[in-house]
Amino acid sequence: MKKSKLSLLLVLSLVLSMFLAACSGGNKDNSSKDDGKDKPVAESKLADKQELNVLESAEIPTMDSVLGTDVMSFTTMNAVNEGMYRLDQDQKVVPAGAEAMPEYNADKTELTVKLRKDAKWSNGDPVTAHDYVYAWQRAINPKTASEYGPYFMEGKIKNATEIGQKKAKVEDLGIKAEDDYTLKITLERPIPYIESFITFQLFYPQNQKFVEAQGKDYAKDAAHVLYNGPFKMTKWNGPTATEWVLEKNETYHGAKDVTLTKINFNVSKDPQASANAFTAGEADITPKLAQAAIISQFEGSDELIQYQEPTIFWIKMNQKNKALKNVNIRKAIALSVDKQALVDDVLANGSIAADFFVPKAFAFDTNGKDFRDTTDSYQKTNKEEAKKLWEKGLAEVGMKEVALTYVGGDTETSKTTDAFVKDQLEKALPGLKLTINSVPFNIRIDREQKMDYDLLFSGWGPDYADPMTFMDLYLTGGDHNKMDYSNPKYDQLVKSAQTDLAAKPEERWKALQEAEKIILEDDAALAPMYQRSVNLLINPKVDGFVHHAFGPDYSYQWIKILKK
Amino acid sequence: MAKYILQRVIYMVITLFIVASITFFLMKLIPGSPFKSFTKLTEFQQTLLLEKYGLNDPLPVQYFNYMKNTVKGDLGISFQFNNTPVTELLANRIGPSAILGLQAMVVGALFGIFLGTIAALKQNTWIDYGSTFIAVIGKSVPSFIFAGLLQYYLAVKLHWFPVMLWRGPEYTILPTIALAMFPISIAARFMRTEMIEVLGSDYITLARAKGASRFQISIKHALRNALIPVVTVLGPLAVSLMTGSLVIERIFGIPGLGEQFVKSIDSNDYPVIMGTNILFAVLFVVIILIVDILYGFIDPRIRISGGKTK
Repeated sequence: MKKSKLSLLLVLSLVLSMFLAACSGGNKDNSSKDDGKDKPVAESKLADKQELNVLESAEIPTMDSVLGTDVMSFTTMNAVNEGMYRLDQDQKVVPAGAEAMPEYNADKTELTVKLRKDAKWSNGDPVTAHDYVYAWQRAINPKTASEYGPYFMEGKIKNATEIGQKKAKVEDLGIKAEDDYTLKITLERPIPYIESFITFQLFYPQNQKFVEAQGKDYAKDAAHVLYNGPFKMTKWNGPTATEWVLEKNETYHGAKDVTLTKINFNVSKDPQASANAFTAGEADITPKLAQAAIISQFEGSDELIQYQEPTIFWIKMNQKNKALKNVNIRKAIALSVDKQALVDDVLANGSIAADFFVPKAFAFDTNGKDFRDTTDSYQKTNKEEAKKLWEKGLAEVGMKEVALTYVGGDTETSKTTDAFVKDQLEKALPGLKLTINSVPFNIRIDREQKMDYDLLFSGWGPDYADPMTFMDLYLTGGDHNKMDYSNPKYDQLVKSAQTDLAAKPEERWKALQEAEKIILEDDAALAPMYQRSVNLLINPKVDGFVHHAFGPDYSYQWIKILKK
Repeated sequence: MAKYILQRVIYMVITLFIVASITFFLMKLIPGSPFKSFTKLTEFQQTLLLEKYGLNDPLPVQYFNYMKNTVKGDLGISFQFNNTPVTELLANRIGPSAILGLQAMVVGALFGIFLGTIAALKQNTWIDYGSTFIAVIGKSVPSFIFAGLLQYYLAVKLHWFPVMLWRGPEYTILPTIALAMFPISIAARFMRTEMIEVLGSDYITLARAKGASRFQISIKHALRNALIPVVTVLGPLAVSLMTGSLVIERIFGIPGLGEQFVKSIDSNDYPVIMGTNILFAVLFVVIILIVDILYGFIDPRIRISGGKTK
């Protein structure tokens, strides 16, 4: 999915983050700071006041779990509510509302989940299997008009597509309560990443009696939501509120492991102002800061946390263009940009050069090995090779000069990036002329949809922890393809990873690796540029801060405040 | 007078109608949809969503429906803030923007008029040059620079004020100063020019000849006359200050309207764009009417009679 994060830079970076944020999250920690997070902290080291002040970059658009589409909603829901499973400090899927990991039938299309019996809603009702069934049905019910309901369930949860098309009843959805504490989930096909998939907030339970009693007022403010997670919201005046408060939920089944008593949230959309508030001691955690100028103020400080998020930015090449239809020309373009200089000198925020399609520190195989560590990298910058390919390509299409329209964003970061790319390409490839169109986010999406571009700079963050969230983008005729890319071999590999290889993780992984090689090395269908880094400031007294790669950005429940 | 006001109100309604219509059609020209993950959905799902919110109807139908609801006082619901009514959103957000705008306006007008007046009275002295200098700085340096500097030095370094957020009167001081720089400079420049012109006019010479004191002349005769053009520019300026400054609100983390308006455009939140724009238009026409009526009090020569201003 597209991420959008926003003065001009802010606006741009904000826009980028909204889009991207909906789909992305943190990943395994690379920062040294969190290395000690698993070590228990001695009581004596804890500060007397276990209270945290957090700045966030946006309001919470909704607390109705079936309507959420953005990372602020997901992060807050992850703190105050709970589904069957959640991601732990090491990004492993662990039981939460469930008693244990699911049991599968032979072909892995049916999951049986036993729920824990001590889970309670904040009104005292027990959390039962019926609450899950109700929420899932509500998410897919066309009357609810959920965006993520159909997006997540169709093709995966049994009958979801048919319900969306009104060919089946909502009650036919592949989730049934066998008794109060046993759920049976039926899938359309085996899904290798189903366990992490259903940690997503969309799959959280909802208390039918409460939701229906509130009617239109459901989730309109803190008093109109029920909580079953580590925290409960004690202050939130609704989606326009720029201030909200979470307090420890004493009736949470894991309450004894939650140390924080209170978290105060405020919205700050200006990164420099957020850094100022942090410096003045008014905030313990800042929002993500993308600007090199701000990050450099904290270079080398133990307050600055930096990690790669699984969001990749790339140049799409529209094969409707005669020159770009030629594979050698595309390869030449992909090899001509000095990506290392781009991340080191232009972005200067810890982002890394992307010689790959599936990001680092995001998808792990059954042994826990990073997808990236089990396969090659592609499209390493090589300007000499690029020039040869360029000349060969030009000869093949019978052109001497190529003029291309390059569509990019209108934020400061985008503009400098685009200027750099143009300079690199035009210098490396004689006869190439780029015209940059810097346009607002919505216009860029529009032009991408209409394929009104030759080269287009865009990005994508994952919706779930599997390479498929990237791989299925460029299937022939896919909704996100929009560059006329088509390779039957790629299609076949990706589709078999979706279907017949679904239960064979090792072969599936190989198929995905092969597909990545085809799209980058063989076809150079798109030219990845960089994987984005997150930078944020955290007070060193905050121990146990955890970030995630998809769904919610962070988990607060393991945080402890240390004595200074 | 009553007839005059009635006539003006009728014009105001026509103006608002035109503004709302133009905004409506311009807004529909923005590409994109108000749904955040719209492009992720299949075409079938997209159609369902558009139908549910009536966005698939032909434009004239949407326009007619919108105008009908607006007349009834229903501005629709926000897309970005999950189904929050636009009227509620505006009501929640206008407060901080209005307080900040009013404070900045009062500080800006008083200080600016004072600066402009003494500059004119002490023409071509260091006082004059100093006040011109302040006016030039206030007009040419963007408010986010002032805001950033004030925040960094007075809040982060000296701890005199809170860095940001909106929790009480002390939180309003820095943003008010940052926001007031522009009205100060505008008021000071206009005031100085007008004062100099008025001070050179015949009736001031007459007042001097009568033996009125310098103070009396400045305040009673000159100031009053010089205020007219200043009031003209400050009226609309007050509206733009009260409806929120994107930059100041961002930097000081103030839950106002300015930031919200820009974001609604970015996210194709049609009802919020329309609602905010109509609110701004209403404020503008009302303030302009008030300014016109004020003229009569400031300058008896401009008494309104029979629907005409002389």
